[in-house]
Amino acid sequence: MTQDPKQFSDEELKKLLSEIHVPEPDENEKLAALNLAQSRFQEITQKNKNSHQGSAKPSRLTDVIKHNIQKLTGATNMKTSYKVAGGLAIGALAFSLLTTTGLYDSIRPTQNELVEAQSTADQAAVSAGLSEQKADFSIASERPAPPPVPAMVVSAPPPPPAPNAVAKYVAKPETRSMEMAAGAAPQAMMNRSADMAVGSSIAIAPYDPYMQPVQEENRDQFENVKDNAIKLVKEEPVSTFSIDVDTAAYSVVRRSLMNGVLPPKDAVRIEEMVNYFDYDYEVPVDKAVPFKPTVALYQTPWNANTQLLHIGIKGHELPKDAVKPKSNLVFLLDVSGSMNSPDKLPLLKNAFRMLVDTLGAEDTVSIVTYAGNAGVVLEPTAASDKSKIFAALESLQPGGGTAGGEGIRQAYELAERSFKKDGVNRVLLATDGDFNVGINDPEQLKDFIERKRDTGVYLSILGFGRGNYNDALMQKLAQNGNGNAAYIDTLNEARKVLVDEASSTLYPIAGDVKIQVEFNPAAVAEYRLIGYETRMLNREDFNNDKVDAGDIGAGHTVTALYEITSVGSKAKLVDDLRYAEAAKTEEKPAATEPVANPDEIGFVKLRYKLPGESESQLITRAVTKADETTQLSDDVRFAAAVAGFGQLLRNDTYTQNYTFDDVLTLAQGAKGADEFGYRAEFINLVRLARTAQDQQALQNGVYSIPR
Amino acid sequence: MSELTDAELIQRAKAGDSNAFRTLMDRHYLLMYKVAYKFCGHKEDAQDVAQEACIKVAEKLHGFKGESAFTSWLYQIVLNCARDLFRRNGAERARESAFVQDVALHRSTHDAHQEEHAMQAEALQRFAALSEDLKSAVLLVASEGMSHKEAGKVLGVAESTVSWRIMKAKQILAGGQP
Repeated sequence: MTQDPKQFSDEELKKLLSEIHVPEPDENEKLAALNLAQSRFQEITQKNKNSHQGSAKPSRLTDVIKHNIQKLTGATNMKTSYKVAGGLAIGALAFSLLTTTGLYDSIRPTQNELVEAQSTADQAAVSAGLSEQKADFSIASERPAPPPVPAMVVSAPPPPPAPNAVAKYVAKPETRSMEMAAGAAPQAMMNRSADMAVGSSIAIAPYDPYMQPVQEENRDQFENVKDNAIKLVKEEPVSTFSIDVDTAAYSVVRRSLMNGVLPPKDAVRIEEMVNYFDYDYEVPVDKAVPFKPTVALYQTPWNANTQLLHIGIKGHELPKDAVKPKSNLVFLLDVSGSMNSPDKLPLLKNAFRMLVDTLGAEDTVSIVTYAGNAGVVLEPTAASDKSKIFAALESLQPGGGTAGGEGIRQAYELAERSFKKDGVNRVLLATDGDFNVGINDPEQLKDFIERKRDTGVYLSILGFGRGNYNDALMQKLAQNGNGNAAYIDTLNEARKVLVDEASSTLYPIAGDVKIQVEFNPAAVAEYRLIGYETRMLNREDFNNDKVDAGDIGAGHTVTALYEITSVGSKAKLVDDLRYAEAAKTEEKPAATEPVANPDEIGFVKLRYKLPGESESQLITRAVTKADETTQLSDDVRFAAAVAGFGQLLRNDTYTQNYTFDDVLTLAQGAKGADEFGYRAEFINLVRLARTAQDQQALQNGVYSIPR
Repeated sequence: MSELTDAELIQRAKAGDSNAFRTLMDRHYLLMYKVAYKFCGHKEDAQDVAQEACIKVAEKLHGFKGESAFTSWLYQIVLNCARDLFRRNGAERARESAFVQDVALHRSTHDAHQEEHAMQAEALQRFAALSEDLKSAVLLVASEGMSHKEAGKVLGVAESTVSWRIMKAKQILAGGQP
């Protein structure tokens, strides 16, 4: 104990605390808190009552409505548990960074010291006393199973109010308010539904215009994507596509669901959702080969009569102790007026600060901005000069229009000027996607990026913000610039993309990766590739090394799923032709098809180029009956759950009676180690989707009457 | 309904009257929020804590026996929620406590008391950085005016432990080594 005689008196202590100026709480926050608490209170009261009466089933219509409202209040629990998951995720991340990479040693020493210095006796005394009240986060699963919701039209919903929705709990005060979006928006809808449904009898809150979802014009642009159709193996036995390691769609979907609404159909790119997660696929022993396909064949979760052909590849990880390739990074930052919102420029600054922290002394960073006039803010600077880089980042102010085209030109010029021959040269473009000055013809921009591809400079696109987000253009640019695209909605996501997965985001190990699958008509009647709609290639493109395709970074995983219907299955959707020789072929398939091995279901071919090479390599793998399995790993089942979820969000017609609850069950059982809490977050998103769907049902006046 | 006492509202709420519950929460929301603010130093966090505490009260009210004062019970719940949040968010946020910045801002406009304000800002910064236990104790005693004994009940520790913590906090706030 210290011998320091200095000590506050009681009066001084009182005075000090009275000096703390407590700002008024927001009226809306208070209302939300009261609403949530009252709903929860009703739920608890109801549960107590039910347990006395021994029945949890609502009977009359008013009860049904009440029941539905209670179901909606699940948002309460969900929100809370999301926070927990988020918190854990950040915690885990921070921990792993501290321990494994040692990159963050400059962070928060003071607080650690404080914690260390705490009296241990003191600690023990309190943990005994105070920890009895433990949060109960398992309520969601205790609630009675919701009555089945009839199939309904899930049209693209209007955007929610969510002013500057960005997840909070991410270190900086200005990056908060997703919380409001997640909590208040569904609540608001709930109030409206409640009022609408039963008038004032169970009015939960007085009408409050601020709590209404504002019908704000949604100017986010998504490419209209049509689902990959069912193909007949007899007519089109070969399927060819480029891999896609982007994850932007998942973040966009998450953002929408956190706001309590189902995402627009076109925002849901299933392959990007599946590929958001890391799967532990096998990597080849031979380091010269960047990856090998992992194949599994199993019963489709949403259709007992079809199978999923699961193709997964995982790129070699950079060895932990390996010297990372030197990086020459050019930040091309959008500082136009439209970026003036907490979830855009401030989040962007924080994200890049984190990235710079991970760089080594020999890496260089330059910064180019565009807004009105494009300009070089920071000439190529060694990453060891962090203070200079941070100061440059800090000086950025939003304002002006977006001269994106000119900015891109300057960025590439800088990248070429400080080109590192054996290193990674990459332009990181951060924008909300509004290129309204300069070359604003997307085609022209695309051409430019395509031409620059050959210089060896890669392009990464980081999307920010909502309301103005041009997803389609971002995708096009990334696809044409040997790049990847991610959507950053939270600092947590920034960490995932720029720090945790920096090696896959920044260090390519193979380029132009294409997959071609040939199905055996003797075994498979129909197939359908789930997702990859925007990545389809022509059959002849596979062997044409001039045709561009997706790149894969160190440690990246890519998963593709085909739903296949075997010959003779009753799940076939297309009838055989009456006048063709269909009947004949089906009776004696082996006789007409030159198949060497009738046990084969199909043949998977992979093409890739090693970095810097122009000639592609080939990997092949036959899919046989031996790949059929019922012993599925967590990874495989989880990927299937995500694919199912994506299809439900897209309102696909192939999922039959599959529901969000089914996704939930499958995903919950396949969480695995989930080191960073990503899968736990997914599970919460499924719950949110279920709630959002129920709300739409209520709003549309479609009540689900339990049987 | 607002003319009813806490005890009457609790009674009605326990009988299933959710409006009585709402009135009760409405009445005490500010108190909960203020304690949370002083603990967290952030308006947003404080609002979150207050919200979680409200929900927690909804879940626990049926089990509230009335053995302690209702407000003491509320303090306990709020502090628990605040500590949970504190742990989840890590210490990072606490360092940049908003009220410390408030004081800094305040200072620049009142140059006459510059010296005094600088000291205060420093002390507040130290307060924001206190360990959860010390901070809880200081809050209850110095800010909410509880006796060491009452604070001990809320925190679930002995009176003497509270006294020890207050003394410790006084030293740290005055610039002594923790």
